[in-house]
Amino acid sequence: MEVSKIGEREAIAYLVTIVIAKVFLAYPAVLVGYAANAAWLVVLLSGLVTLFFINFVTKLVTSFPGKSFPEVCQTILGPYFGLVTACLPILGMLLEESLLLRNFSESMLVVALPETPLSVVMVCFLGACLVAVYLGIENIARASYISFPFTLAAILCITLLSFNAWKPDLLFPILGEGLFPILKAGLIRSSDYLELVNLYIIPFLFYPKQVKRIGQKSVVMVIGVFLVVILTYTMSFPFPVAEEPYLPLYTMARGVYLGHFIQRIEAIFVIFWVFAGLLLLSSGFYVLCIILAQILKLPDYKPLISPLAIITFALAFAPPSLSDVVYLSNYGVREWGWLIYYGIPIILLLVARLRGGDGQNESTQKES
Amino acid sequence: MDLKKLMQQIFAYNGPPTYKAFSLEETREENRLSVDGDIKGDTVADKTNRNKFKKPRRPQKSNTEREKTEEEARKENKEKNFSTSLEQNKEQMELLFHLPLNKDVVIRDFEVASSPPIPAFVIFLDGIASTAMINSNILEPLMFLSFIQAEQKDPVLNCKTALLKHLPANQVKEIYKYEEAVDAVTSGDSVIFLEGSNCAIACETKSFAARTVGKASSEQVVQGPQEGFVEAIRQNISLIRKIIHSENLITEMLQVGSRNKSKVAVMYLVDLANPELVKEVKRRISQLKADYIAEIGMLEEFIEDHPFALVPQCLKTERPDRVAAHLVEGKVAVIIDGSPFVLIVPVDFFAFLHSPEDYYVRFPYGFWLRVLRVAAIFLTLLLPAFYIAVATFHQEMIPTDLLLSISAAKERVPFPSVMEILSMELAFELIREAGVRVPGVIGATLGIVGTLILGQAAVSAAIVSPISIIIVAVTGLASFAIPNYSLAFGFRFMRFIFIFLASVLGFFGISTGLFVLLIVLLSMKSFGAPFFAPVAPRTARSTDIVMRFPIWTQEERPDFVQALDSRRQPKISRQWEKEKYAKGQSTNTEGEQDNGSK
Repeated sequence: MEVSKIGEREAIAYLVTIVIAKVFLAYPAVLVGYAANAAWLVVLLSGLVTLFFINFVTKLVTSFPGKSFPEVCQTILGPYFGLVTACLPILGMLLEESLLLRNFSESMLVVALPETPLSVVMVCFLGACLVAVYLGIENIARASYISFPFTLAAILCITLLSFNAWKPDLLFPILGEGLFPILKAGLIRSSDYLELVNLYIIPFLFYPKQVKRIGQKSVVMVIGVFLVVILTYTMSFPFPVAEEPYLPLYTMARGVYLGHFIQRIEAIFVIFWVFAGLLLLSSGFYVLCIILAQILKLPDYKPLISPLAIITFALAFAPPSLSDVVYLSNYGVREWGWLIYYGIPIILLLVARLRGGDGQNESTQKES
Repeated sequence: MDLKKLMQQIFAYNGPPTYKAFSLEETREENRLSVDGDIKGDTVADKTNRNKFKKPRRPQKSNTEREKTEEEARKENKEKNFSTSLEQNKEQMELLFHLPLNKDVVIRDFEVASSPPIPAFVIFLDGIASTAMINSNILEPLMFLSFIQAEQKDPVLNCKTALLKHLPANQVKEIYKYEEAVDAVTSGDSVIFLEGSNCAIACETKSFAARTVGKASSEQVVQGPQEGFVEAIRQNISLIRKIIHSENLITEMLQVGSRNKSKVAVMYLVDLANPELVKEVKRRISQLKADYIAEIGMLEEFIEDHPFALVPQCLKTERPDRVAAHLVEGKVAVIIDGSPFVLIVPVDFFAFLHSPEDYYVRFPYGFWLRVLRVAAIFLTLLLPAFYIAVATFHQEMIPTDLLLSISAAKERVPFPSVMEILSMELAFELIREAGVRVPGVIGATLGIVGTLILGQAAVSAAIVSPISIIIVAVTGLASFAIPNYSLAFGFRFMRFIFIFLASVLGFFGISTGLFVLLIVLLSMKSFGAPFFAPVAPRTARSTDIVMRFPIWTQEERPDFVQALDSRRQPKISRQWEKEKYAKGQSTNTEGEQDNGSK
């Protein structure tokens, strides 16, 4: 599986794009549900928690250069435990992937295509993703690099153009419903940054020397984008109302009114929205395929694409209604995922240190 | 005469009269295969021996004994060396050139004015060899002016002396094989055979009918050189050499097409072009096994990386200045005899958006031209699709006043927007295609028919709404603003895909299509170099990708070409700038003095 590496800028654009794609979905409303008008503090806190975890990820990647994630697991934990550990993320990712597919497709129905059958939209999403996955992760990453400025501009446009509706008073009291809910939410909502674990799950894509910088810069950029979105959102809507919408950013875009000619601009944002969604979906798909291929020790991941697509497609229909999808995708993996995804590198590093294996020696050499 | 027979002929029915009509029969080889070979689908395939009982064969005469066919004999003789007997050489040449059947081949017998005289003959193809050159450069010197002391012992020396002393033609060489003689004669040279010598002299006498250098018709510029390539390879090479006066400019000659044997020139700057790239270009061309390649477009299709892609991956140009500009970036140019276009490899996607004019006008205008062109690309690709998406799915986007005027115009039109746009686009494509093929005399009529009937009449008959005419017209104009013919073609084709996507899925369809298009473009390569290069993968900074910045800021060559020298010019190319800063103080005071004196 020959993959060309991507540079720092491309890597940051890629990671940031796939993390921030969720602001187009229910994310801002969910955060408001946790901490009312202090949701922006949750963003800050969860970002800092992620920044802390990035250190472990960096250490893991630099200690075992040139090895795939399943290989690292098996080197440290032995063939059996290693296999189980390597398989752990797959289940979560498969669930996440199918929920995202359903989520983005449902949002398309809500926003633009009310009379189109759900399956048609899902097939289109999947079809485009399959092409992207077939052509490889580096192209997905490069596509996100090209689309990054546009995605960012679209998000900023929606949030900043709604300045008519801002009421800074809504941000007070600063601590919202109190310190404890903020701290709790700050910890568990660090799962919102979960896509960053691609740093150690597909390490072959990045130059090991750049991993630390890539991780830190991406987290900071993501915090920035999230902050802008959440702050403007909580300033535009009082928190009991802000919890309600399924697509908060869309609701904000509908509110944009700048004179007679600049209004109802939300349809244009569908383009960027879909772009970000497709990048997130195809990246997730690729990661699924590649890990499975590496666990099964297959020489190529391409034969796995269509079976996994069918499984994802079928799974995506499992939740009976839109509200179930929103609930599952925002409260299941997104509340406990951080324990598994951030726990794995810590456990791996701990065991490696205890057993004093190869990785340990290499890492100490590097440190010295 | 037999009366009975006659009566029968007159009164009885004798069957239909026989006409001798010509019909082209299967070749003997194919007939044989259809009997005992495989038949795959509708074609007769090669004979396979799989699962087949091998019949015992009758003992045959061995290959040498078997009577050779004329073709086999010809092939075999071609590889032989010349004989020392003039008579035998003449016979062989006659056999190879199908004499006396072939009336183009001329064999002129003469005697060289030596003592004693040496019998000789010259062979050439009438029409592509210049008779004047043969008369003055070969026959005259050898028949009247040469006084060779004929060498009796070693007749080969006669040949060499004639070559060195008596043939004033500028390109002359000794050849030793019939094969070389055939190649020389078919490419317009004359070959001289002398009695007793096993070598012959090939003398340059080429004179083809050729067009003179004219204007580049498909890539016009307002300010800049107007010359375009012609069909003759030598002239084309000279047009390039006229611009790059460098000893490092290399022209390598290859041959493609086993039947037509076209000459292909590979040109590059040896101190710039990456040797691996040059090797790859030569590898692809020299390993081609094809019957007939006579045009650069055919060669392009053979050697490009992604033949099914909708965008081209090699730059085809008919402007020598453009080829020169790319050669000094470290790229390789491929020229084929008989085509007024030159292929440049490798290229990035953005090179297709550039026109030589961008560099010939001042920076602000060049910059503006580029902005215009990027807009043209998006308009060509997306404008009709955007209109359909908005009109079908996202009407809320249109400001109310505009919406009212659009719907008022559409009120009498019975078709949905997609049908309107599709029919107008189709009509536009037809006008474009007909405009290219139509004989020049009728050309003006076509324009009138196109504008009048399709525009005016369609609107007044309420078949299409005026707004869709505007959309199609703007799209059409935009597509012609793309400077590259192939790319414009590709985008025009893709436009129909986007129209379909927009009519089915609105903006969602458009963005899904854009995503797939972008991913496919990103995965493509042009001769090993990433197609979307300076942008993704991101390579060294460049000031000439989409936008063109001032020429003195373009210091680096494009990184993806991996040129041997990556720097074009120093950081400060306007050297006097340095002086200005170094002597800033003194120049100021001088200026003050000047003012004072005034």
